[in-house]
Amino acid sequence: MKNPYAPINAELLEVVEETPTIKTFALKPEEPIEFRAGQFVQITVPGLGEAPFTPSSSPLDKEKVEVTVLKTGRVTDALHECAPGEVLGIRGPFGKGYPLEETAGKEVLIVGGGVGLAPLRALILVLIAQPNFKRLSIKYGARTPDELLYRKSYAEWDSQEKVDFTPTIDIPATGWVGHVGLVTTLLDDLDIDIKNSVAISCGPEIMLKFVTLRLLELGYEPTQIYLSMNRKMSCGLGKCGKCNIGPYYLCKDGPDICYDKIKDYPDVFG
Amino acid sequence: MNQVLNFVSEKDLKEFLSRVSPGALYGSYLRDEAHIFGRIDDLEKVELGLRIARSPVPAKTVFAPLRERVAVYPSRDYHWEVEIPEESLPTVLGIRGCDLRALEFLDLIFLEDEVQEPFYAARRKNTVMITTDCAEIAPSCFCTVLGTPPYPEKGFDINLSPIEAGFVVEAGSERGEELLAEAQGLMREASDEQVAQRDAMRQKTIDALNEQNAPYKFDKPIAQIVTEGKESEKWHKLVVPCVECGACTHICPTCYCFYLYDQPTEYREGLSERVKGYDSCLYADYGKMAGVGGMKPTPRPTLAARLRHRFLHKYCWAPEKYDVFGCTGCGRCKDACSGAIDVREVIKELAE
Ligand SMILES: Cc1cc2nc3c(=O)[nH]c(=O)nc-3n(C[C@H](O)[C@H](O)[C@H](O)COP(=O)(O)OP(=O)(O)OC[C@H]3O[C@@H](n4cnc5c(N)ncnc54)[C@H](O)[C@@H]3O)c2cc1C
Ligand code: SF4
Ligand code: SF4
Ligand code: FES
Repeated sequence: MKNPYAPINAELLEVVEETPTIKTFALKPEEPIEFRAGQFVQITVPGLGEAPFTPSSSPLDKEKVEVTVLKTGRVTDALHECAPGEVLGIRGPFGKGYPLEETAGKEVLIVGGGVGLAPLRALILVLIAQPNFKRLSIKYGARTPDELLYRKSYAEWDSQEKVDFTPTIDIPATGWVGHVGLVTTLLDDLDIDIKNSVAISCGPEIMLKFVTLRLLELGYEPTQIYLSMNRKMSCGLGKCGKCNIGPYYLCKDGPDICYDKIKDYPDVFG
Repeated sequence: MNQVLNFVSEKDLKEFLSRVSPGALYGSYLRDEAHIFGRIDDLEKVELGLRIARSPVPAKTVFAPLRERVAVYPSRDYHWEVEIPEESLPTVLGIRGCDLRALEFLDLIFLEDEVQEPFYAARRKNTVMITTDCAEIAPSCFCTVLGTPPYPEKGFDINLSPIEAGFVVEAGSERGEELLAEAQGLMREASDEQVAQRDAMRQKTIDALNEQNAPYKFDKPIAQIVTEGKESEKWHKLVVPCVECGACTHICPTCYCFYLYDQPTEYREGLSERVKGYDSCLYADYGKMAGVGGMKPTPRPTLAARLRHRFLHKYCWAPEKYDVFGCTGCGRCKDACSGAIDVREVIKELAE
């Protein structure tokens, strides 16, 4: 049995600045880590601590693992100071990942907010590589144009057969010709066959809440909605207790979990 | 199992114990009149705590200590075997029924799945469990309210039931029988009279528990009471005495939440270590996450929501998931609480 608490070494290959506060880190673990889209890893900054991130790179790329990280506290501040060549630690993967078995033949609606597009990118990349869906509609919002992630990929994703991608920003900005408004406003004129759809969303908790409410209004059933729920996580093993919603542990039963499973428990959206 | 019950006299008890416990000994003993549950260095000298009410500190602490190092990195040679050598077979003595059930509950979390909690697993696997019946109870004990008796029924290697001038000895596992073989000369088969004494002692304890818990006879299942009390305004009142110290969860034999933190290690220069320590769902920080603009969102910002969470976990979600309460009725949380919050009273209040 391997020690599940011990990180394995991972060399930092490359750092890409995505936005003023978000960077993508490409890591090469000493032993390859195979993950499914939506499964997450714990990244250790040696001596300082670890924090959970869901890889944003394609699970089909076995050479490296990329994580896209918002600078927002102790571990993420330190990560943002790291340069290629440094050796970090990695544990995982943990959790179930996105419900790829639910996308076959379906109209898949992806709704992302802010850094929440990072985990969704892994999903988008596998779906595009293995297009078993009927249609893939991606709605993504950030506060300002600067804060939109992966801007160079939008045109490529949008040009794929059966795929459409619409970004939005919260507040008008000079030079922005696209949609303005919260990401929920992109759901106002959905031309999706809701009966044959599955919706998958990742973003800040408050966004998840309003996206869920809007989807329910539109006629989605709770069983058709999957959310990447935010909870503090420590062990990733279903043991440390922190990440629960009712009897579920999101590090094990999630982090992407069907809304139907959790909707009746208290404190779901804080 | 073998239904033959034996008897060991009080006079022969320590000799008996030294024969059946080949390695290090932990358990229930008295030090300066305080009831301790911990390492027993000198069995000869110590006054054992097998005839008194359960210890303030649970047996859990032997299997999952308050704090321990769980990893050293970057390094490949550090393993739990470093901390818990396989060959020594320690014995834990005097585990009460409630604490044994608590360990069986922890097993459901720490030993389930492909990934086990390896430190707990190593201790649990390698330990000889010598349990004991409660001949005395603490004022906060309420195991019978939860439908469980004040003595171990299964899951022990050897159980000792205190009776007049000695103990009725029962083997509960093959390992227990093998160990008892080492102490053949010190035991004799228990007489009918001695077995009757044991049964009477057990009934007497049950009667005492029933009497002390007479106000807590509920006409609905406890899980239902707490579930129905979910949205109650009463939580705001019930939580008033709480000072968020976390004593209730730290002392609880079934609470298992922990956090991990990293620091430089003394294990070997230049490396770092990861330490695991008890956490408490009562703490505001327990669920706090990094958030936009330095906000630290948590699913349970109010203390009332956190107290409710503790109850929902123990009395609703644990049974929902595992079919057992996440509480053994040991009453320690009340004893430890500076506001003397009594879970029985909370349930009663919700039921009214
Ligand atoms: C499954 C999962 C996937 C995530 N994926 C991403 C991602 O792809 N990109 C990204 O930028 N962020 C992601 N996050 C959020 C990210 O983990 C936090 O922003 C990060 O932990 C903050 O750490 P910190 O030390 O900088 O912050 P601090 O506020 O200083 O936090 C201290 C410690 O608390 C814990 N912690 C704080 N916030 C969280 C949180 N939200 N979840 C779990 N533990 C937390 C961590 O152990 C952290 O080191 C994800 C969170 C989870 C649970
Ligand atoms: S022991 Fe009492 S005061 Fe301390 S956290 Fe628990 S309920 Fe609150
Ligand atoms: S909740 Fe209180 S009574 Fe129940 S097992 Fe824990 S400490 Fe004992
Ligand atoms: S992160 Fe420890 S139980 Fe989920």
